[in-house]
Amino acid sequence: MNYRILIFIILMSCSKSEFNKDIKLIAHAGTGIYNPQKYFSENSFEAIEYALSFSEVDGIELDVQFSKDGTAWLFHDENLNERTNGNGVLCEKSDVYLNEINYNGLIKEKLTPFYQIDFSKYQDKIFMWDLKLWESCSTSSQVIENFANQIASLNDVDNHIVILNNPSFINIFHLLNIKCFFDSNNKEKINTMITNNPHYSGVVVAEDVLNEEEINYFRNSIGIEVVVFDVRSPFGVKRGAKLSPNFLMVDEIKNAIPILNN
Amino acid sequence: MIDKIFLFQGIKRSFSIGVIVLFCYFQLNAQENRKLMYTDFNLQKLDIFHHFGVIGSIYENFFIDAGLGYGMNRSFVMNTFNYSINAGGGFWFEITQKLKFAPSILYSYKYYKLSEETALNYHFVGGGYNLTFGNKLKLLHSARVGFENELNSTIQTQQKVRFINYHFNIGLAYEL
Repeated sequence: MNYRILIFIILMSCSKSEFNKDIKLIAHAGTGIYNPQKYFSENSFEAIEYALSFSEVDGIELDVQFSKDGTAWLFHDENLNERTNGNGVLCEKSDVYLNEINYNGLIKEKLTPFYQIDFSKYQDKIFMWDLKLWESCSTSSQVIENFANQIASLNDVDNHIVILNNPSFINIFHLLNIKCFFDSNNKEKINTMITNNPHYSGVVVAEDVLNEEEINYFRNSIGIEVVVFDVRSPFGVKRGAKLSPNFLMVDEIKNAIPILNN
Repeated sequence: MIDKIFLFQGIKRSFSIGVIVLFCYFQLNAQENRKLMYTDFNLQKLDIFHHFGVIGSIYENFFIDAGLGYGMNRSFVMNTFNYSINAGGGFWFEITQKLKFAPSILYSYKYYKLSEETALNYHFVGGGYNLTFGNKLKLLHSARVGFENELNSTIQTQQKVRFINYHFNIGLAYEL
């Protein structure tokens, strides 16, 4: 009896992928935030370069915050203490200070400002900009407008999506034809936000929040694009892909590529 | 075109692997005794590998180690065969009659095909130790730290990344 179970497991493990081939693969912060297999710090220039070097990766999600000088910097946490040799909240720091600090770890990557990315190297790649507007930082609409104008000045503005949870800024991006997605793990909040703010054209949800039917409803009935994130393990990639979202945002791209492509 | 490149890489790789395996085979057969067959589980940064191999003495307490394995997560969950070939060596110190310790070095090659377009080659070189405990049937443990290169060679990309990797092995060995 046991050998039948073994044969079944082997056959299941060798079965070809049944996933929707249209799912776009997005690298979460380049190499993932909490990914023990990553080589580079998240949101670093090295992580961007590495993730986008794979032809199977359709795009990248990067976290954006603004310095005291109003410059857009790529960084995930509110506080610099845990991941860098800097101290305090990023929005209270000057560009000069942020230029000096680096990530902890062996490689000690520098923090990356938005303006340093050479977008001409990454044509046809999708960029998702997750705006981290912390309560402790009072980001002015002028700063957001400057950032929106920087995106709008790029050649392929259609490939840029802003993840924005503060709807008061949505018109800034909408007027420049920049797509905005809403990020939440609460179904009711998603429904309310989408209903009240028709300029949102997509939602970003964790892998266990919406089921396949709900994602299908968002995609086909409301015309909203869906990004599934919080996909870390290979099993997570399989579960996420079975939901058939528009985008699958993964922490470890080398786990996801074989599952989605073979 | 991609197929030809993969074919060429495959021939080159198979030739190199063949040379290593033949070297280890002849070396291991040069001595009649003191051979260990082993199977172990090997934790690395990228996956857990399962290996089979042979450790054989070549001159007094010097030994060489040759093994073949596969990445379990990548092979079974991601449906893509990820194989590994190891070759190494060291020098046994007999601590007690049952317990042996050896400083050792290891070269490990891994091949990981991500898709029809992309394949990654990994080369690891590192140092560490081996431990065996037991008589005929032995508990085997080894640990190594070293540098690993990841080479992504496709038409679109020629990228090399170097990182620090570790090998933490635990398994069983049988003295032939």
